[in-house]
Amino acid sequence: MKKGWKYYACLLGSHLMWPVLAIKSDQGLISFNGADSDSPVLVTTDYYMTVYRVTQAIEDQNLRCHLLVVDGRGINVWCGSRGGSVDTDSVLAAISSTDLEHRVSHRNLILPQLAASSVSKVVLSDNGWNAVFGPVEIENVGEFLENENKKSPEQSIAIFSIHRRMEYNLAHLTFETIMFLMITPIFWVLSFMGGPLLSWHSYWMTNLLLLLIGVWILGTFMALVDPLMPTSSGYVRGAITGVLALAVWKMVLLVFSFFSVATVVYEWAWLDASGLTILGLSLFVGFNWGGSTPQLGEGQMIRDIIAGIASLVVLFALGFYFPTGLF
Amino acid sequence: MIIYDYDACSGCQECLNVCPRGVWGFSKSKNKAEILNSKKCIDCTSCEFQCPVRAIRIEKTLIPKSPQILGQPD
Repeated sequence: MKKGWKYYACLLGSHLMWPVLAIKSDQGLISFNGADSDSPVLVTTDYYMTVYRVTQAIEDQNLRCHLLVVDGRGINVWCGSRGGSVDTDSVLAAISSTDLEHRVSHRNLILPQLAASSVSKVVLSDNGWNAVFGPVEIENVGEFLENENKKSPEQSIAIFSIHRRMEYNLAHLTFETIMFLMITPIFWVLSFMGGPLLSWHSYWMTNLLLLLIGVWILGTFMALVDPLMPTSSGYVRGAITGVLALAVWKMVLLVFSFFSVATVVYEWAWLDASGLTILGLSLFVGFNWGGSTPQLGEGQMIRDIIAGIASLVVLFALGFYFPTGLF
Repeated sequence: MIIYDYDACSGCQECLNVCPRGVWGFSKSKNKAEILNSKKCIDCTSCEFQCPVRAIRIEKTLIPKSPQILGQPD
């Protein structure tokens, strides 16, 4: 497969904008390297990037196998499995539509491990198919096949490498940039209502570029230091990053004021709109980022969202009533 | 929160096989799965869905809770 526009659209997180923008690949059975009726059958979902990566890995490892691409509504395996886009029926439907039972001599399927929360081996077995869950990373599938469908404990663990983190980061920050571009005119229009909203009139428009630069710096920082963070909570990560960013910002201001004693006292005590914005942006990026990581559970995500929205409301309120600073 | 029926576990190790977070371990001497690190659990429910004897249940709670292990000998 070539890296066409679909690849780059996936990389920029088109599916995050709206589920209908998720880019699909063709469903069906793909055979690699002269696979015959005895060759193993791997299963995956129809998200374009997933099929692209699986295809690349199969070609790189020169595997002689079939790939059954099932209907996952254009969502990747893990999200699709947790979100209900792919299940046992999807696999059975793909087996039926591709006439798989007449194209292979065996009845063995290698399922993606991350589909384990929705694809039932028992139901597949009842339908005459013996399924096993392969390794999390498709790069390990060659070794898995060589070891007669056995994997090491490490190959069952989802890893979040720096390369993967930077890819997620690119998709998320593109999404957040578009969100900011959309909400800025809304805040600008609202500012005409006057009262405390008046402070938004120039704030969002004049600071849009700074806000976007801030979002990209904060998001990239979180992606880089992900393994060093003491918690999986996106909210806490956002708060830690926000406090660090605030300290750095105040230090920069100090440097520019040539370290005058008055400025030292003044700047550090001052939590003005710029300080509140840095904290708010960091929390926003933090709990958005947290949702993409494989370390975050659903319960934690709900707690993050509740705490994040409450904090943003408080920061907005402080920005309304103390636009020139708190102290 | 993980609710694990220790007595019911058949020792098939399917939970170890499908857990992407390394929550589960296995005791060869007792032929039972064991919870190694419940804090790593992300409620993905893979172990619950694949357990052939329904020995595992994942309950989503807003406040984090320690796992409940039923029938484990002291």
